[in-house]
Amino acid sequence: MSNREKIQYDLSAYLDGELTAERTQQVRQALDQDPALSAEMDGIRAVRDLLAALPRTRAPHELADSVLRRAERASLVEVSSAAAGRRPFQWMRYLAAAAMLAVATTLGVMMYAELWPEDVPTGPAVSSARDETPAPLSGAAKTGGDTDKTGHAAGKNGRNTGAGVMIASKDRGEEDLSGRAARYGKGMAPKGARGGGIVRLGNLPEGEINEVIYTPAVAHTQRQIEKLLTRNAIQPVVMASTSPAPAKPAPRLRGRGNHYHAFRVTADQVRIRIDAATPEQIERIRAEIERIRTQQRVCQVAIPGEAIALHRPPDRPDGREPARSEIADEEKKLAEGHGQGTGQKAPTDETFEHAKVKSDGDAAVGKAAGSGGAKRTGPQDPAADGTGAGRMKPKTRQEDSERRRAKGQAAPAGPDSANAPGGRAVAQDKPGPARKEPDRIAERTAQQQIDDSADSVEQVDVGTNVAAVRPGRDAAGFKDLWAGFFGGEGGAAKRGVAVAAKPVTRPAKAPAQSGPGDGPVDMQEGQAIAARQVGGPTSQVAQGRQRRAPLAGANVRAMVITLNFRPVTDDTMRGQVDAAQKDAAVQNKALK
Amino acid sequence: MRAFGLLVAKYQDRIFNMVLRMCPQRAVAEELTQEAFLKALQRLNQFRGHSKFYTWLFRIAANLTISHGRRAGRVRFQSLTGPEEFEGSQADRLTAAQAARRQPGPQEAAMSAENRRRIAQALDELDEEFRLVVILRDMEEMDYAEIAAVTGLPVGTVKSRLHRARCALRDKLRDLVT
Repeated sequence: MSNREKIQYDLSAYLDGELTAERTQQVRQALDQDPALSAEMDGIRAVRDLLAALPRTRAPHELADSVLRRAERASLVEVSSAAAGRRPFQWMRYLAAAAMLAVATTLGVMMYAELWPEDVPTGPAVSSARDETPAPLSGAAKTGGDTDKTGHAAGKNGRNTGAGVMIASKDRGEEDLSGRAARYGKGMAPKGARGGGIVRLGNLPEGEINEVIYTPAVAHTQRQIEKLLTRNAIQPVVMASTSPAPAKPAPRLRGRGNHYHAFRVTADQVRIRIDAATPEQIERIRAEIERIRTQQRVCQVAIPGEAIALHRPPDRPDGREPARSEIADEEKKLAEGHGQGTGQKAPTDETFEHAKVKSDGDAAVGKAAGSGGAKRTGPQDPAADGTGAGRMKPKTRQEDSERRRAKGQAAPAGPDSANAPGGRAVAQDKPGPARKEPDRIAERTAQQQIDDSADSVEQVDVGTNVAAVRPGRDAAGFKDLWAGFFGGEGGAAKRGVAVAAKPVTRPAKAPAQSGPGDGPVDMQEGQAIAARQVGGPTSQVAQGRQRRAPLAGANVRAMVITLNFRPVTDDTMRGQVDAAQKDAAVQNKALK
Repeated sequence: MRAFGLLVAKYQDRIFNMVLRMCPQRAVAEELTQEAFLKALQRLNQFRGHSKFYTWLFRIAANLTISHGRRAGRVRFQSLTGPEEFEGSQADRLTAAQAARRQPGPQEAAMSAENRRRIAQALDELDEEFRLVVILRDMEEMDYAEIAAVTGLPVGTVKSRLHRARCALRDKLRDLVT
C-alpha cells in the first residue's frame, strides 16, 4: 500500500478525529498538497453530513409501556416456572421429540425392509424362544444365515394336497421371490402359533415338492431331517461365503444332486431345500418325513390359508387362453361337482372350523375312509360305497412299489397321453350306500387304490377343488385335463369332480376304475375332505395316507421341507393328537 | 422495574432509530426494540460495567437485528413503497417534526424528502455490517471505541469498514455530494 493509499484509508478517521496527532498532521499535509485527496475528503465529509442530517424517528410512545408489560409478564412466568421446578410443558416437548424419533425410526426400518427385503437380517440373528438350542444350519445358514424367502406353505402358484404336501405349479425362479411374500405370509400363521408366523409358498419352482411339518421343536425336527438326509447320502451345501448375512437367496440346488440347503426363514420357520439324485430318494425321504410328522404332538393339518392353491384351467387345445369367466365357471362346476359327488358341499373354511371343533377320532377316520367327508351314518361297506373301493383288486404294497418303480423309469411324461384320455380323472356322482364294514377296512382298501393310482394321478386337492398337474405336462395333458373339466374328447363329460390326470405310458385303467363313483382318486379326495373338515389332529391319519401316494413315480427330484413352529398349547388338541396317533397305530397294525 | 422503565424511556429513541435504519419495516423494528429491552432486562445481572450501559444495550439490539435479518433469509427489508413509508405516515411526520424541532439543523431542514429517500435507499443497499458501523458513527455519533464495543469488532476493523461504507455511499450519492 503506497503512502497515498494509506492517506486515503485514513481520511474517514481524520474526518472523525480518530487519528493520532502525528498522523493527523501527516494527513493534513497530504491534503494540502494533493487536490484530488482533498476532493475525496470533501466527498466523504458530504456523505457524513447527509447521514447526520437524516431525521430521527422517535420511538412509539407506547413502546416503553409495552416493554414494561412484557417484562412483568415474563417475570411472572419465570416465577411460576421456577416454582414448578421446570419450564412449562418442557416434558411435553421432550415427549413429542421422542415420539417423533420413534416414528421416524419405525418408518425408516419399514421402508428399508420394503425396499431391500433381502438385506433384512433374518438368519441366525433371529432367535427363537422355542428353539433353546437351535440346530446348526447347513449351508449358508451355517455361515451366517441366508434370507431366502422363497418358500412357504401354499400360495397362488403352489398346490396343496391338503396335508402340507405341495407341488409348485410354476417356476418363477428364486430371483423373483421377494420378502413381500414372506411378510404377507405372516398373516397366515396357524392359530396358536406365536412369533414369526408362516411364510407362504407363493412361488415354487415347477416340480418341486413341498413338505410342511408343524412341530413344537423346530430345531429338534431339523436335526431329525438332516440326519435323515445324511443317511440318504444327501449332503449339506457348504457355502463359500463367510459373511455374516449374505443378502443372496438360497442357491438353487436343482441339477447339483444329492445336496440340501437348510436355512432359517423366520424364528418359527426353517426350510430345507433338497436336490436329490433320483426320484426314489425323494420318495424314501418323504416316507421318513411322514414318520417324523406323525411323531409330532401338534396338528399337522394344513391351515385353510395354506390350502389356497392355484386354480386355473389349462390352456385350451386351440391355444387360446381361457377367459376369466371360464375360469370362474370351471371353479363353480368343480365345486358343484364335488358336492354332488360326495353328497356334500365342498368344505369351506367355515365348515373346516366347525368340524374342527366337533371332530373326534372315529369320525375323522370314517370320513377319511368314506365318501369324501360325508357324515357317517352307520356301518359302511367299502365294496359298495361311493368310492368304489371294493371294486379294486387288493394289491400288496410290494407289488405296487415295484410296478411304480418300473413305471417311473419307463414313463416319459406326455407323449402317451392319448392312450389315457381323460386320464385318471374320475367322478363320484352319487353318495354311496351305507357302509357295512369298519372304516379302517375301507381306508386300507382305499390306500391300496391310492398306491395303485399314484403314478397316474399326481396331485389332488379336493379340499380346495384344485387339480394340479404333474410337472412336465404337455399340451396333450392339458387337453385331457380340459376335456375332463368340460367334457369332450377323451374326457369324462360332466364329471362331478374333475381330477387332474397325467398322461402315462401305462394303458388306461379299466373302466371300472375310472368310472363314476369309484377309483382311488375319490378316496384320496375323501381323505382330503376329511382332513380338512376334521381339521384336528385326527386328520393326520387321513392326510398321512393321502400324502403317501401322489408323486410316486413322478420325475421329481427337488423338494422343500418347511418346518413350522406350532405350539402345543391346547390340551384338547393334544388329547386329540394322542387319540389320532393311537388310532393310527391300531390301523397300521391292522394293515400289517 | 421502575428503574428499568426509566432506562427504557431514556434509550428507546436511539435504539429504535438504529433498529429502524437496519430494518426499515416499522412493525418489525418496534418488535425488535421491545425484544432488545426485554433481553437486556433478562441479562441485566450479566452487565459488569466494563462498558457503557448504552453500548451494551446497543450491542444487544444490534445482534438481535442482525440475527433477525439472517433468519429472514437473504431477503432484504426493502419496503415496496420505499423507505419513506414509515416516514410518510402522519404519526411519523409528526414525530419527525418533533425531532426536527428538538434538533433543528440547517442541512436537515433543507433536505428534501427525495434526498432522504435516496440516502435511506443507499444506506439500505449496504451490507448490514457496513451499515451498522455507519449508523452508529454518523447517526448515533459514537466514537470508534464505542462502535467496537457494540459490534465486538477491533477498532481497526471499525475504521476500515466505516471508510469503505462511506466511499460506497459517496459513489451511490455522487450527485448529492458534489
